[in-house]
Amino acid sequence: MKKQFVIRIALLLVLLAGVDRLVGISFSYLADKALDKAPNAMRTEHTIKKVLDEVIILGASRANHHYNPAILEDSIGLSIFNCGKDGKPFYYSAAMFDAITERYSPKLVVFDIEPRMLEHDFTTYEDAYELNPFYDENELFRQIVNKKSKTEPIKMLSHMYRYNSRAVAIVGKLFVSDFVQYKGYAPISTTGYKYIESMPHVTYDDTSMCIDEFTLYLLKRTIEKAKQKDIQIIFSVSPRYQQSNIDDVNSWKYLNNILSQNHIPLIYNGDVSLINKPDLYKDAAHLNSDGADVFTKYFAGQIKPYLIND
Amino acid sequence: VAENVLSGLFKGLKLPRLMKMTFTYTIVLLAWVFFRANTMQDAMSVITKIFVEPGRLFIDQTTLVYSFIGLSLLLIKEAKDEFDIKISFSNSNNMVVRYAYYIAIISSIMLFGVFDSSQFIYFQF
Repeated sequence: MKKQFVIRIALLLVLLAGVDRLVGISFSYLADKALDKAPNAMRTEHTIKKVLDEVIILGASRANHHYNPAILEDSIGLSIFNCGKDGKPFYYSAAMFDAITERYSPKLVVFDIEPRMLEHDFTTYEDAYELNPFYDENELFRQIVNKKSKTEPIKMLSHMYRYNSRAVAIVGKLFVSDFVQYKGYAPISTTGYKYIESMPHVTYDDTSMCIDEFTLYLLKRTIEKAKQKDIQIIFSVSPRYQQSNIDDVNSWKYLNNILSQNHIPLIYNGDVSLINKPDLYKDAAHLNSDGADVFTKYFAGQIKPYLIND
Repeated sequence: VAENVLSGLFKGLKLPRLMKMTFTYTIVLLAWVFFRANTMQDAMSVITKIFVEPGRLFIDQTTLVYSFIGLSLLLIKEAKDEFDIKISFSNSNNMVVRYAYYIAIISSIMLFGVFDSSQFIYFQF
């Protein structure tokens, strides 16, 4: 009786492993089809597998909404793609940089960053699920996904789990096609919201700050890989409608030091010194399309010297 | 509580059933803002913004599909109980049916299950 029970459990596990693998392969195939059909909606996969431009913009929403490739292309004469994605901490940029540079070497990669990106409070790996399907293929992706929780390596044994919560979205994208507009840039409308009435003055409390060791590792790894592949990288802080005491913040000073020691340019426009008109912002952290155009023109001038040196 | 207060206020007023349902539903939705908000100030801020800064409807197609799948399963269960339908895949004499059922259940958990506790709304209270 006991032996029969063990055999049945073993049979169930074998069947389950087979189905798991089969479903995983099927979703991998469907994700590729969805990428062909809706590259804009499959933004992460598009960055990992398709992008081939000479200049790449990486970062979160402020990257995605602030850098207009059309203006940059006119100014510097290189093809540009904006791979920024809303709400993503630095780990996402580091992962995308790693995946892109496995395929080819762009001439320039711009990382739009938060000045306090090295701090623990600015780092969460909860939404790293988009990297799950590439768990076996990319060592850095594996490290990032494993940061989500201690049980993640066990969960990742399942190929179905890698598409957890994305199954419906992937299938849905097979029926709704889209295309990549504005070379990945997502302009924010200039209407439909109230302009900011008063400028926030932010005072950062430096006492609570601690460095996230893994983010620091990602930064150093990114710098190292850029050197190995001979890729010019630039770190940029795009405008915010605020004034702050960021120069007093230790993590910012630390970040400056690391970049400076490695001769990596850090371009700071992160307050109102460049753009101080409230009607060019949607909110304190985001420029609208008019503001983005003003900023991009200025930014093109700022990065030109690094391309000429190159 | 709200129902008692409102029934007192609108005593004698006869409204169409659909209007009553819409009214109750709206009151419940507004109450949920207070249920979810961290502070009274946050709740008031949300309520104010609903009226002062109306935005687009939040319609996420993927969420709608998941809701439809979930509600369909609940309706099937209700229909099974209501009409006393005697079907049980887990107790089937056919081993293939039984195993297919187990694998389907485990697969749906792997594909649609919420493994991140922070996603479950009641963990936020």
